[in-house]
Amino acid sequence: MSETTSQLRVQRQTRAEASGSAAPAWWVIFRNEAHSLWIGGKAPILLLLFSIVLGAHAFVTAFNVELSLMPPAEMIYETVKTAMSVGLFMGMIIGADMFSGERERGTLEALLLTPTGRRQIVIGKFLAALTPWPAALLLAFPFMTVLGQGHEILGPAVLWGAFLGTILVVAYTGTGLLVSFWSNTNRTSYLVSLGIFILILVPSQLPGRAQTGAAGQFLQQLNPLAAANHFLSKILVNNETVEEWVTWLWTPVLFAVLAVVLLIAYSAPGLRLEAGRARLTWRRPGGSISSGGAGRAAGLIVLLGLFLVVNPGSTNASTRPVDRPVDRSLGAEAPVEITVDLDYRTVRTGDAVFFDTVVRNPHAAATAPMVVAMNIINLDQEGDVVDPEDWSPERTQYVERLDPGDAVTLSWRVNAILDGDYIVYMVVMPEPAGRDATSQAVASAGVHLTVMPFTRLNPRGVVPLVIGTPLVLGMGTFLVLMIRRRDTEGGAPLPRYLRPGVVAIAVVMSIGALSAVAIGSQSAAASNATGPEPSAAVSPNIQPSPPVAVGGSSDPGASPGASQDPGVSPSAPASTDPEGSPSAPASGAIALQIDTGTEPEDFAYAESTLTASAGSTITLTLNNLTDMDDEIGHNWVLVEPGQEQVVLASGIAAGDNGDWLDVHNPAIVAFTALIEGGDSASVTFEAPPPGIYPFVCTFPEHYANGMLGTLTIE
Amino acid sequence: MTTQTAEQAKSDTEVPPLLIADGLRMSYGPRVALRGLSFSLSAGRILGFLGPNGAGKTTAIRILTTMLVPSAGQFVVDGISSSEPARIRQRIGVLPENLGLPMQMTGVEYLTFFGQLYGRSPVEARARALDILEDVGLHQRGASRIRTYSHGMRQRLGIARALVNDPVVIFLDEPTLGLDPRGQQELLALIRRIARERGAAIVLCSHLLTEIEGVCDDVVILNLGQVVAAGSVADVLGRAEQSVIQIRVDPSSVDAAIGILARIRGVKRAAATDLLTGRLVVDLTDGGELKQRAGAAGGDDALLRNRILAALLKGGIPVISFGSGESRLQDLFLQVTDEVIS
Repeated sequence: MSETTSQLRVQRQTRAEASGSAAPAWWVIFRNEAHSLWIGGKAPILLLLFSIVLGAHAFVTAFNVELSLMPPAEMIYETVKTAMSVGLFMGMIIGADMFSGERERGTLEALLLTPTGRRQIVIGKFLAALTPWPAALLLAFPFMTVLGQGHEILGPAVLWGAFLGTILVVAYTGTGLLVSFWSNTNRTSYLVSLGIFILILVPSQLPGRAQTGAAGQFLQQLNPLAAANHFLSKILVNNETVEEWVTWLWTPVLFAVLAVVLLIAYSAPGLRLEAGRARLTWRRPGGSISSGGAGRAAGLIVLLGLFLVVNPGSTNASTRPVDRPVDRSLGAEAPVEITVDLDYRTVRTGDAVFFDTVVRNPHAAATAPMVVAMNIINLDQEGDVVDPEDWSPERTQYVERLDPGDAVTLSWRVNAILDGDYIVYMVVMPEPAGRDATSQAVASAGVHLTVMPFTRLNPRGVVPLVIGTPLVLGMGTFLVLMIRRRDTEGGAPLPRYLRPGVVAIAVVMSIGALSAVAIGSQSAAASNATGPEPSAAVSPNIQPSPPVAVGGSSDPGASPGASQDPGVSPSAPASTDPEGSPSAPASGAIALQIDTGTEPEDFAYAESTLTASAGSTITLTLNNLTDMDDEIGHNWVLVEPGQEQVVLASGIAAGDNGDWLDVHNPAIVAFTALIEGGDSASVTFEAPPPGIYPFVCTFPEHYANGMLGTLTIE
Repeated sequence: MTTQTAEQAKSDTEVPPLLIADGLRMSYGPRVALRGLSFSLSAGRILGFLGPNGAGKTTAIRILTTMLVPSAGQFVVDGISSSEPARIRQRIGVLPENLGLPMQMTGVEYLTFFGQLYGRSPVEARARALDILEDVGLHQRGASRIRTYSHGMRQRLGIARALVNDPVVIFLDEPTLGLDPRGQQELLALIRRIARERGAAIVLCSHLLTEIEGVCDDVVILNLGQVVAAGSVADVLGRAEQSVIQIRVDPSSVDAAIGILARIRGVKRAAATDLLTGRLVVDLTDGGELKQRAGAAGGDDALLRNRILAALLKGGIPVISFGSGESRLQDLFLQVTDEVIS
């Protein structure tokens, strides 16, 4: 440079005035780190990998025939789990570079030479290392939505995933930073971090058998990742309550707290240019600082101690002992009656079955207090064990003593977790009179549950997301890097609409649009597969028909007139199928008939199971056999598996004026009009894909009283 | 020697010293890296820090820049004791040996970031960054990423970073390393200007002796963790001037020449520095001792030189050159660090 350069500016005294409006140091560090993480390309590239892994997972899940039997709740859980694991890996890798990487690149010295507090540096870097996680969560959301197929668990899954994921990401990122803090090179740092990552991952990859049992359970609970996954699966897949499993949150939370405390409170002030060499912190006059090695050992001991303190307590808590004071004022031998209001039900995995039991005391003496326990038996030949804990949020209920003639109604919920053939039954166990007495159990009748695999997922919906997300992300990353390059290479300044921030927003919006397309194509494909839109099928097919069997046959199953019923629609609705898809090779027309009961309080269809073959055109005729004067209205609504409650709720919302049915509900496959006693109605529709479809009467209370059945498409 | 150095520095300028080091020692376990470093440096002066690799230069700089805690001893920067490292950091600017620049940032972003770390608001930090970039001649490339800078530009950016907080003491560790001669000259001119115009004290670490000789006011030479020479450049050179002779002879007669030289009274040591080109270095007994012994002034050294040359010629050695070498400081350096070289 020439000596003619203007005089050097001496501004020694400006410091004091300047400090007034300055940002806190941790914020300056955070901004700088976040900037280099995102604009430098590391975070976008990791997110790109994240989206590819997630996409691969979604693709495999959706296309693999075996896996597609998974119920949606489990799909969502698996997606959350994958998103979390990859997110943790990202956090750890980013954290593991934070100090050792700067040491390696020689940039740490310049940072340490500033008067910035060491803790501020660590906090800034730590927060910056956490920034990719929210973005990863955002990326995972569309995948969860598409794979979850609108399941009710989606909302809680996103919230729990965000909550637990954040806790674990804090823990893992903190650990990565800690390792980096004590490493001179990235090689060491990555190796150790990866080792820790794998070490934590291993127990959750053990075969199923090894994960159960006392030792396995303890190991799982000790392992923060396994504990978090276990908690998530219980809450999301098995519909269990948070209170029941909250102790499993201890290890992840503790892990996170420990990592943060060790990093920020304990280690941070000793941030040094070189790890593990001479002590670089200044010795305070009159005080002594324990050497790094001893300090680390102390930290480990504290960590171990805390684990030991927490875990015995939590394992005890998770066994949920039933230990309540017993009032045994009256005779212990009084037997009771127990009845169940459901005989059998065919459902799909992921569905829930609700039923009530009534425990009644038919005798002249009061009973002892009782415990009512639910049991589930697998009827298959292998005698596989069912874990009722997984199947029901509440397995046992307690009943105070019943006075003569009194009855108590207990409500139960059973979640169909796995497909198969099951019997659910309840056992009433009066409390014995004392230590030297016993009591007689009374069992209820069984509820026969046939759980069909879940087959509704349409993999095509996943494809745009799987391909599109990494593509959009990759293009966005490329664009940001290009802009950055042009911006800093002295080219013409770019217009404002091409700033990196704007591109980032565009990327987020594109991914949003992609997921919308994916979800749209998912539901479109679903409705293609299940036949014409209900609204299109309605008007031409519902015709009042002459009463066929008014007050007639007591055998409602055989109404020969039905097939000749003039009410059967002449207009084949196949033409309304927008895509003209697989319904074309119809194997012929099938006429089905279903009658209602004859008495006003007969809330049941005469036939609760119907069968039709796939590809056929079904014409169903509903005959309301009740007396016209009783003014009992019935309809027949075929719905997507597991969607009964959804359709019923929207029916209630439609109200009396809407004939208690929301015809636009997408979960409806086909339906007849609501008809009065003595009337008939019919509907013609293309058979949906093979499976078991429930049908219901949507008039208030009718379903709850048992007016339901299934149509099996073979 | 150390107290003497401090006194010298005081006598040279009237200003109180900005940097005083007192008995700094550093040991890594059993290995001693620094065995008692003491010196002082006043405002506007440039101190050259010399020494072969492993002499303890970097350790000394890291102690003085608060990156290392000495095993013993202390130092004071601008009146602040070394027990307050954070306050010292506020007042020093450092160009570390390992420059360590983030490649993806631009020069302006980089300096703005550091300005904020020293407590400036973003706007002020940016304005200051642009000023300093102009000072070091980088203003036209301030918006480019550091990745695209040449080596010389990176060194200048490093110096710019060292100036961000208007330091009173500046440490420059090998600032001209890897620069072409023109780049070296420009950078040294910049360093001189900084010392003159800012009135800052500068510690310049280098192994380029001509560089130190041309720029520095004071010099400290370290060897094996020990100070082997210290004082103003003029003083140190005055001592060295007459105590070393560099001779170049025909490569084939190097051994014969050493044999002859070793027998001459007044020669402390004779050794080959380059066998291929036949270069020799001859240490003379300390001038002061000679003077004392001879009881005479001035011309003793000249007489000794004449005797040496005569002996070589008499011994039939083809002498190609005879003198005190290209750099006087280099002679001194070679002399005081001979343990490492031989």
